[in-house]
Amino acid sequence: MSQTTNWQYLPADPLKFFGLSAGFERRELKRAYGQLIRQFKPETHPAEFQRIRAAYEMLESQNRYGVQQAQATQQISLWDLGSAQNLTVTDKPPVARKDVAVETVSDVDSAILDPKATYQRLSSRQEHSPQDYFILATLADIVDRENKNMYLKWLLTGLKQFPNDPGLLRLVAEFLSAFVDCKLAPTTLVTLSKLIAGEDFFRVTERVWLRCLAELPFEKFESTLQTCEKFLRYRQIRPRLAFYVRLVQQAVWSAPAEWVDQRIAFVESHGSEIDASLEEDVELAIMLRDYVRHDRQAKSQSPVLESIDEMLHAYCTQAWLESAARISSTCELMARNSHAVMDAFAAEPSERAARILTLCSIVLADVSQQTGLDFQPTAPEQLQLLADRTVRDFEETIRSVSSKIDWMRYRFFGLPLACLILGPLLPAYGWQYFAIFTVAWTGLALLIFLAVLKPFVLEKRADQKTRQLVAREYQREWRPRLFRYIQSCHQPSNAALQQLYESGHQIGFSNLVDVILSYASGDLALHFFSRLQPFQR
Amino acid sequence: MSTNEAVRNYLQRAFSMNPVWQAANLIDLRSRAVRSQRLDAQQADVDLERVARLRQRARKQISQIQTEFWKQPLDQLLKQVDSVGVDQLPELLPTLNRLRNAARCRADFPKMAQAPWMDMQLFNAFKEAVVLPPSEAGQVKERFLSRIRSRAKLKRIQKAAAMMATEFPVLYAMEQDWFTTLKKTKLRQSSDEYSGSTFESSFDWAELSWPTWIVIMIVIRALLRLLAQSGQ
Repeated sequence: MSQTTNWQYLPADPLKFFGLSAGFERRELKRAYGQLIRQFKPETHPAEFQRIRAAYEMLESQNRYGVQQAQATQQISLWDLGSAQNLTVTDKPPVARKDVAVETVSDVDSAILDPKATYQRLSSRQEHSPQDYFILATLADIVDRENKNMYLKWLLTGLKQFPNDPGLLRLVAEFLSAFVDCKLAPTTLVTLSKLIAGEDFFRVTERVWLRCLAELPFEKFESTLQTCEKFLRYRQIRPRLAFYVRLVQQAVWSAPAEWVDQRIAFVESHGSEIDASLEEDVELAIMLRDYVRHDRQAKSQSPVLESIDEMLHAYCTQAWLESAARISSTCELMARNSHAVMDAFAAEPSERAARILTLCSIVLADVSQQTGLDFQPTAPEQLQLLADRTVRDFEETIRSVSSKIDWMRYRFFGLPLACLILGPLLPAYGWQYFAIFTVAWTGLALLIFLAVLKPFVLEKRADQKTRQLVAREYQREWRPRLFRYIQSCHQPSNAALQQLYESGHQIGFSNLVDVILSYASGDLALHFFSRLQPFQR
Repeated sequence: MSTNEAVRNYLQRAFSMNPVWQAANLIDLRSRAVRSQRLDAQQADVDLERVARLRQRARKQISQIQTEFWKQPLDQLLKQVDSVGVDQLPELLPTLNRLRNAARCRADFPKMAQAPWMDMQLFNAFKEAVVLPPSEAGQVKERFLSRIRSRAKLKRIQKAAAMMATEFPVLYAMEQDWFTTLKKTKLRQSSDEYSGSTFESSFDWAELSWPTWIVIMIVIRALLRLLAQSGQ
C-alpha cells in the first residue's frame, strides 16, 4: 500500500489521491479511505492521518451535497498563493508586478514584510479579489488584535462580493465550526444566509447547525433556521435535502417528533431528487427515527440494548473522534460478552430486534470503515483448526438430535399408519369375510396413506415440527458454539461460516453443517457479534 | 505572536496554504497563533498528535503490564497500572480497568489455587486468560475447553466455577462469559456411524427409523395371524 499512496496529489487533487474518478460513489470513497487508514493509523501516523482525514471529509461533504468536483476546481488555481511557500523573508521591499496573479503574490510578500502597511493599503483599495479578503482577514489578527471578529468580518465582506468563491466558502465553514459560539451563531447564520446561495449555505454551516441543535434551546434553533430559510435562494433542492437528512439523524434524539416527521416528509416528497448516495442517508434517518420512537424504550431490558443505545447516540450526536472513541469502548464490552448478546437477541429475532440489529450493522460498518478497524489476520491453519474443532463439537449433538427426529417421524408416520390399518380391522374381527376385508382394507389404507395423508397432511406437520426442533437445538446447542467460534477465529462472519462449511464437507458432516449454517446465515445477532470483534484489543 | 519573527512565520505558513484544500489547517494555525480555543474540539493538529502519542505510550505500557503481570511485585504492578494515563483514551479504559481489577485481586490467586475444589487446569487457563489480550485469551479458552474429555472432569470444573462465583466474585465477574459457557457445556458420545440424512424431508422407506419398522412388523404379524385364524 505504501508504494501506491499518491501523496503528491494532496492537497490539490484528493480525487486522484483516493484513486477515484469524478462521479464516484460514497461507498467507493469510504472503501479507499478505510484502506489508507488501516495503514496510516492516527496513533502511529498522526500527520498522515490528518491529511487523509481532511481530504476525505472534504470529498465526503461535496459528495453528500452533490457538488461537482469539476465545478469546484475551476477557481482553485486563483487561490494558489503558494509561491509564498518559496519566499525567503528579506528586508528588501517587494517588487511591483503587472499581471493580477503575480500582483497577489506581491501582496503576500509585502504582507509578510510589513503587515500593518499592507493592511492599510489593501483595505483602502476600491476593488478587491477574494484573495485580498483572505489576506486582509489574516492581517486583521495582527494589526487589529483587540477586535477578534475582524477575521470573520473580512471573510463575510468577501463573500458578499464573491458569494460562490470556493476558498472563502471553505474558510468561513471552518471558521464557523471552530470559533463561533452557539450564543452568537444565530446572528452570524442569518447574516450569512443573506450573502450566499442556499446550495452553499447548508454545506458551509452544517457543523454549526449540528452544534446549535445540541446546545441551544430547540425553539431558538428552529426560529433561526426559519429566519435563514426566508432569505435563502435556491437553484437546486438537493443540498437542502442532504442538510435536512443529516440534521434529522441528530434531531431524532432531542427534537419534537412532529418537527422530525415534517422534515422527513419534506425529503420524501422530493423523491426524484434523491440519488443512491442520499437514499442510504434517508433510510438511516428513518431507521433512527423509528428506533428512537419505538425501540429505544426497551433499552433497560438488557445491558446490550443499553450499550447499543449509547453507541447509536454517540454516532449521531458527537463529533467524529469523540464518537469513534465512545463507540469503540462500548463495542469492546459487547464483544467480550457473547452470552449477553445471545440473551438480548434470539436466533430468530423479533421484528424490533431485527430493526435494531440492521441499524447497528449499518452504523458498525461505517465506523469500521472510518476507523480502519479490521479483523486481525488469523493463520489459515489456525482457522482450519478452529473450524474443525467446532464441527467436531457439532457432531457430538448429532445423536440426540437425530434420535429426536426419528421419534418424531415415528409419531407422524408410523403411528397414524398403524392406526389407519388396525382401526377398522379390530371391530370387524370374526366377520366371515374378514380375510378378504383385511387384504382389501390394508391395500386401500396404504393407498390413502401414501396418496393423501402423507403428502398433504403428515409430511407438512412433520416438516414443521422438525424445523421447530432444529431451531430449538440451534438456539440451545449450536448457537453458543458458533458465537464462541466467531469470538476465537477473528474473521468476518461470512468468511468464518464459509470455513465451517468447508470443514464440515471435509470431515463428512455436510448435511448437518448445511442445516446449521442455514440457521447461522439468518442469525442477525451472530453477524452483529462478528462485527464487534475487531473492537477487541 | 509577540515577536516579529513569529508573525512572519505565521504569515508565511498561512499564505503558503490553499484555503480550498487546507482551510482546516489554516484555521488550526490561526487558533494557535491567536491563542483561541477551538469550540468544536475537531481535529486540531496539536491535540491529535498529543493524543496519538498518549495512545501509543499507553498501549505500550498495557502490553508490558500484560507480559509482566505475574512477575512484578504487587506494589510495583499497582503503581504501573495507575501510571497509565487513559483520560483521553476511553477506548483503552476497559482493558486498563480489567488489569487494575486483576492486580488488586492478585493476592486472591494463590488462595484460589489452594482451594480444595479448584481444578488446576481451570486455574491456569483462567490465570492466563484474565491478563492476555482478548484474541490470545480466546485461544487459551478454546484449548482448555477442547481438553475436557470426561464427564467427571467437566463436573469438577463446573463445580469449581460455581464455587468461584461465591468465593471470588470479582474475579468471576471478569470472565463471566466464559464461566457461563463452562456451566452450559455438555459432553456427549461422538457418533461416527451417523449418516446425517434425517434432516431431509423426502420420504424414503430405507430411512424409516427402527420403531417404525417394529410397528410395521407387528402390524404385518397381526394381519397374518388374523388371516390364518379366519381361514380356519
